[in-house]
Amino acid sequence: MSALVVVLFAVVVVRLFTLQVVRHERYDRFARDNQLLRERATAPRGFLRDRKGTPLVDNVLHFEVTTPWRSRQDVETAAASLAAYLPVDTAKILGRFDAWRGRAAHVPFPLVPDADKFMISFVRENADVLPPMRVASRGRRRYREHALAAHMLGYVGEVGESELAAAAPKRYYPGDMVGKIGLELQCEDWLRGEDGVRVLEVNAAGTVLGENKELSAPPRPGRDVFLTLDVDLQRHLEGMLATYSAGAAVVLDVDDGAIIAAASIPSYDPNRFATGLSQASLTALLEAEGRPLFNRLSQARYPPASTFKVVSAFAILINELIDPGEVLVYCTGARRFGNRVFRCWQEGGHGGMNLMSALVQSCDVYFYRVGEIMDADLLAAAARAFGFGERTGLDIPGEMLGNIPDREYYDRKFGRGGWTQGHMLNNVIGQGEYLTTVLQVARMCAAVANGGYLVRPHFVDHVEGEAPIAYPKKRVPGLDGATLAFLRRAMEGVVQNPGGTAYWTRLAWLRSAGKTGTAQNPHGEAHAWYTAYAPADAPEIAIAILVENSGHGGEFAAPIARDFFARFFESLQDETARVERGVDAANAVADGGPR
Amino acid sequence: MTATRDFDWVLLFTVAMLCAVGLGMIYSVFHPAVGAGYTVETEHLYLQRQLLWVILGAVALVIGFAVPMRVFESLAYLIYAIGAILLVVVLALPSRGETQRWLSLGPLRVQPSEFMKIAVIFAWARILSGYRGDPRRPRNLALVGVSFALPFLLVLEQPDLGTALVFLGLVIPVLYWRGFRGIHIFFGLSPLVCALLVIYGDNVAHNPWPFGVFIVSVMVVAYVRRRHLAESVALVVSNLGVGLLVPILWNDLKPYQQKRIVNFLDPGADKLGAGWQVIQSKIAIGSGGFGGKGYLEGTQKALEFLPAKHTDFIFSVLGEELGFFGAFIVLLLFMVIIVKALAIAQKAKGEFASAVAVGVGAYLFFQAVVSVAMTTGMAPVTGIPLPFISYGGSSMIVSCFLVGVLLNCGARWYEY
Repeated sequence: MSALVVVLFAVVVVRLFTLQVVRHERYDRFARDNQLLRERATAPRGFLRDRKGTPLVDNVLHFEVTTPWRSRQDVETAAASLAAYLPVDTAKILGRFDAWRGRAAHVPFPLVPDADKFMISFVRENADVLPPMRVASRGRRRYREHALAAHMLGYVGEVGESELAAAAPKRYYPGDMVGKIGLELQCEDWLRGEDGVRVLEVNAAGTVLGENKELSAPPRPGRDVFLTLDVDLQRHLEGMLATYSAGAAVVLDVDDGAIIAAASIPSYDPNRFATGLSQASLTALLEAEGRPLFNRLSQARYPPASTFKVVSAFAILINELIDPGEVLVYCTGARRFGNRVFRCWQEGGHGGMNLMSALVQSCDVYFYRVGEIMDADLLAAAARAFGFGERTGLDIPGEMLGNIPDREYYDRKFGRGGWTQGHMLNNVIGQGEYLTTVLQVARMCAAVANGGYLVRPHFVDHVEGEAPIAYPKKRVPGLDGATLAFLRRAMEGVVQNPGGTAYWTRLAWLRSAGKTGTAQNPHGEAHAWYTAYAPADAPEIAIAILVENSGHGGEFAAPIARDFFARFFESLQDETARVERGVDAANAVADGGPR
Repeated sequence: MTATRDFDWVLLFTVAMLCAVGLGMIYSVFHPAVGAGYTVETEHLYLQRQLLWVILGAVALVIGFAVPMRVFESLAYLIYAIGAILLVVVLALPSRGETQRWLSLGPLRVQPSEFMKIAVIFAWARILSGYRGDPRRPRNLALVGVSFALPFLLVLEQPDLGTALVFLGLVIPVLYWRGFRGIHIFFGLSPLVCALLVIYGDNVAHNPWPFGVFIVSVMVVAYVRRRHLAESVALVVSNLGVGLLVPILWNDLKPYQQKRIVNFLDPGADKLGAGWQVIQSKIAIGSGGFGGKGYLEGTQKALEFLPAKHTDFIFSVLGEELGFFGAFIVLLLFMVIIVKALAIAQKAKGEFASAVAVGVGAYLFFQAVVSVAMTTGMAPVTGIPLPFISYGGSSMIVSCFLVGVLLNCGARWYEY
């Protein structure tokens, strides 16, 4: 044992000898010539890019004035020396210093986090008379497309006290910008990267001689996140929606749930957050007309209106409640239930209706009859099967669930037996207590389009240097075979049959399928709904649109889908035309050409 | 008074020298106070306090010497229980900063983990002494295992990985001394070493060699001992199992937990924090050269680099000012104490006293070597003070008390 003790001591002594005698020169030079200063080398934040790689969010350089002084009194002196010549708020600087102190002992304090060119030149030119200060540069977030997709991209803001407390030690320092909402928040860990340290050699006079590369550790930049959005289509969709005062729209790839475009109107410019927003401006923005900060795609709940008839029809079919071919009612424009009169949107009435024609023409009276026999739990189960009442799993935080009124809900609300079948008459046409998000309706539509799968809508396709993320999908139980075929035929009829509520928005060269909706709104004009997929025979994309306070879905929302399809399948149209021309030319040659 | 005749004056003198060096270094750290960001009061404050700790240490030393060993033996389990309760209490109290190591008793702040080191030495010595004290008996091994695991896990929870490992550094020599076979210690430790090597290979070295070399040597050991088939199979299986399981468990850890372990294994990785301390400490020690810059003449101590330069990193100031020569002398003094501790363990007739002497030697050895290795960048940065020299009451009192006990064993070596 004694031998082991001596050996281990000898190891330590050899180490000391190496440091103090063999390598003495080198360390002595470090110690004697230069003082080492270290500062944080901030990792540049990753970009958010669209599906083609076009940057939507990047960084621009901006400047800050820092001081190596660390006592409150010194910082006050430094701030005062600036305040004597420039509009600088000393009290605010000290407030930030108090939050900063003790957390970031190794980095110079950012006296002015956002210096303009006057400040920069003032500090640089008067360096000899001012207290020690440096102009440092750092990246600031830039939202290149301003208000475009603002709700989806989110924004960054200065890290808050609670975020600092919750994060791992040394991950954030006061003054850092972190994702606050949307994809900026969701992808924070990918985007952030890892800070490094820059070690500077400083001579006795305080002049920086250069960087000591050996001791420095470069930052690991944040990784770019590639989104499923297509910036051109996004611009197109938002442009169409922006002719109205408020609304939301989303386009999904029906097979995997990739979001090609997503809009919420009115919008705002996230650059305002990146440059620092005063409390007053934030309040103003929060309370502005139309509440622009509100994400109407996933955080707003609307009655699904007649788009919900797809679910009601599904409930009828899988439970075999009614023979779909049977002419159940003769619509005269209204139906009496008890002592109340329930009106169809078509005041003149639709005439004799079976399930197919009731869907195509969106006859309310047919569905009132269905509501008389529909059980609350059966309809709720069908809605749940289509993913209503649950989060779609969208990869931006803060999604709403919506509401599914089942028996338990009514029992809770009105007491057991305190409610009547009358509720169901409104529920089957999506006007009762059912509440959904625009995204949920789009997903329902995608499920019909893709053969019965609930996809997970998502914005993140992949992260730089990684394989695309696989998103799970789940089967809608019962949505297959004849049931599925029936619903698809009905939705196709809405656009392609002369009686269909969206017939006027059909395209000659592209068959699509859809369902209109008009959500009655006690506060004003109805909300217009439309959800659709195309092409009808081999669906690629699904869309859902809600326009607040406009009117009929077929009139106001459906044209947006038509124009989007037209734009999206434009190339397809060209292709078709070219092929047709080509075929014609070939035929011409075959028929009458020279032999 | 045979006790007086066999009193080890050299040992006492060595300890006194180390304490004197400590006082001198602590004065130097804060001198000159003005200009380095301290007031003149600070310059004297730490020196005065350390002087108080030395005096209290002397009292503790006298107590350790005067109380008969059989009293310690009979109180061993009680002391252990009190220490364990204090450790639980310190964890249960609301957190103060990142870690929970201190317990406030009026104006004093004590570190229960330091006092626990006394408790485990006594407890293990008692378990492993007497005619039933063979460490190979399953009962004894289980008792030692449990009494080791409790403080180890509690201190790990603080979290203080370094101090937790001190308990490992104590239990192994004591077990070995009492007749536990080295090969079995290797068996016990190998899965832990294996886990650390897997993590090191994956996250620091980025190659599988550390684990590969280790597992091959494990297999060689197993082959050499193939006559003990069950043991060999268990050895290989447990190490391979750890090698397969650790990467899976690793992914379940939170990123900051992973980072903490990686920083422990590779302090250079955290260049803003611990790595920076090590770099600065190496510059200080290296710039000291053979003869040192001279007492009070150090330049690196004045810079902002070392938050713990009067406690865990005091050896870097010592190395800078006193040079290789001074550092070597200090290490020599430690070696004298430890070699003497082992000699006392040989000589002592009482099994309890003998085991205690080894425990004390292991304690001082482990702390001194790890502390110096840390400041020279050979060992992870952990909160381990340099006995007798670092500023701090708990460490000083515990070290002095243990030396008193050691003197006690040496002077009354003939007692059973």
